[in-house]
Amino acid sequence: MVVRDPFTKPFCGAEDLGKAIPENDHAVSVCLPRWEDVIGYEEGKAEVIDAFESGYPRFVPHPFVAELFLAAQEEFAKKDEVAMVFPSLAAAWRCADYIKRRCGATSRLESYGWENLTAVLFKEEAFTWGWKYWQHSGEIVSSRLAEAALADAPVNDEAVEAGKQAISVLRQRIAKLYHGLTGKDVFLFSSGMAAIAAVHRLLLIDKPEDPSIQIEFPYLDSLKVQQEFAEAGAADFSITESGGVEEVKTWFEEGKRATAVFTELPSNPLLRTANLERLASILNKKGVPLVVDDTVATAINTDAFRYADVVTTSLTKMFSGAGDVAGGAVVVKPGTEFYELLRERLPSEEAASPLFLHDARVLEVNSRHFRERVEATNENAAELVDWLRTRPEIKNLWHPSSECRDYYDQVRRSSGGYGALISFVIKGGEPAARAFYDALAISKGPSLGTDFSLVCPYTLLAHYDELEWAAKRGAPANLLRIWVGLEDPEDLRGRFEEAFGVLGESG
Amino acid sequence: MLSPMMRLFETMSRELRGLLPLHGEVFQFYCCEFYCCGPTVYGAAHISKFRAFVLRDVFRRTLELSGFTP
Repeated sequence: MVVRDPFTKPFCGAEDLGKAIPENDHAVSVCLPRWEDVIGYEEGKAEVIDAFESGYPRFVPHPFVAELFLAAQEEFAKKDEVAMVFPSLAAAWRCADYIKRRCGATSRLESYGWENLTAVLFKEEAFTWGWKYWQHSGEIVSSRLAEAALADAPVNDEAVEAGKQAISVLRQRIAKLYHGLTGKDVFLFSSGMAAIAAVHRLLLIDKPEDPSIQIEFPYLDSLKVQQEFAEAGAADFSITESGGVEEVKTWFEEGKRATAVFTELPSNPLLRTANLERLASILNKKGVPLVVDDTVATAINTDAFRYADVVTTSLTKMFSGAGDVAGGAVVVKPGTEFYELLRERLPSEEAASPLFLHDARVLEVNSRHFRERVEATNENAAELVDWLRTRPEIKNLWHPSSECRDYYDQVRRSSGGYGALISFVIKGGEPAARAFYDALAISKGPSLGTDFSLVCPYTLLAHYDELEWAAKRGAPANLLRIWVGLEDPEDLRGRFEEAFGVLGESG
Repeated sequence: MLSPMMRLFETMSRELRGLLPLHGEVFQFYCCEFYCCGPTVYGAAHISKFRAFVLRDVFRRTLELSGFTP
């Protein structure tokens, strides 16, 4: 059987509902071809959910993962108990603690008996909270890890050796993206969110009563990690006029404290960048670390370490490009005030939610041409942005080439571009957005950074239960977000033209 | 040296009890099966939680040194 090529046959028709994107047992996206499918997914409609072959690993239990949960349940559960499985005792314990704090239910832990996998067992009604922990913390069991555990055979020595080699190559490859770093400064996790959660947790150890500060409206769970996993939560400064400088200055002038300042380079989905230069200058004096997630811009386009103390990145996205593996990294910079502390604490965090050896091997192969792919998608996106700006159907468009460009340029490399993520709203409200989305012949599903283009109604997908809240932070409900892949730009324009044509027909 | 007559303190009866043979009247092949339930979580993990893990590990090692097959 020939595997479907998303470049020539995008996953976008009604018949593609629920199909794994790409066609792969370990795909990290799933096709939601119509607006109503996105709403159906958010409302938990069986006709949508049951069609899923795959899904974003933190949001949809992969079939292998669901099977692993069931196997643990059959092995350990008492009456009315259900099971989830986490990569380690530490991660399982954190999940159980979260459930206890959120709904009062106590959980039991059992060693699953394969590697460090640990089952968490609790009453069925607490599952919502267990699943929330999985989603927010990113401490996930990958589909490959679940598959291997279900096979119940030890990973053979050759595969272990190859996996370790891949981990070592990945550490060095990521370190080389930044100046003066070595592989020892890179820590690898099971997901990008696990990387962010680990940094947040470590920095919280010394200041457990202080909140963190978020500058610019970030990706859903980047904020949830701070709000859900710290007693003091997070100070949320979305859409700042000064790139966060005035907010942070005022914060400290009022005598308040903070564990860390988190921000994305640029923010997802509004693609805004904080004033990292000025923020770093304030934070250095206060002894507060600046944590920057450079997933969207990538380290090819930008050097966050010009100002950041810690960089986190999701390897699931452009670093992989293939959309068939999840992973995350924390990178620390020698010479900063926090370097020794983080280098000492990060290994145990990494061990709690590690990048599985089989995943590392896939990621190592996928990331060999990271730079070339970033450069090509930069160009394609720039062309599409220029063209979309001329289109009368577009109401708003966000791209780092226009949003907070001066701040982005503070960290943009001399050869770097503005990245391949674009957000936009088309005129005509929801009916027009719906018609346009349904007609667009580009693969439709969650995630970004794939070699092929990928579009989704981001706000609906990420903030369906808090649309007003998201709108107040600048992300309207009808916002569409597209990751521009390696397709020929002319081909992509043609697909947009066709979808715009539907709007014309509807008047 | 094989020593199947290990005795353990049973907290319920507060008495020392010998290990009971699983298969018949004698310890066949000196095999021992035991199950340790995992922790029930009432709060964040802390160092005293290691007691349970250390204890079961010491128990297993002691059995092995006594000649039992794990």
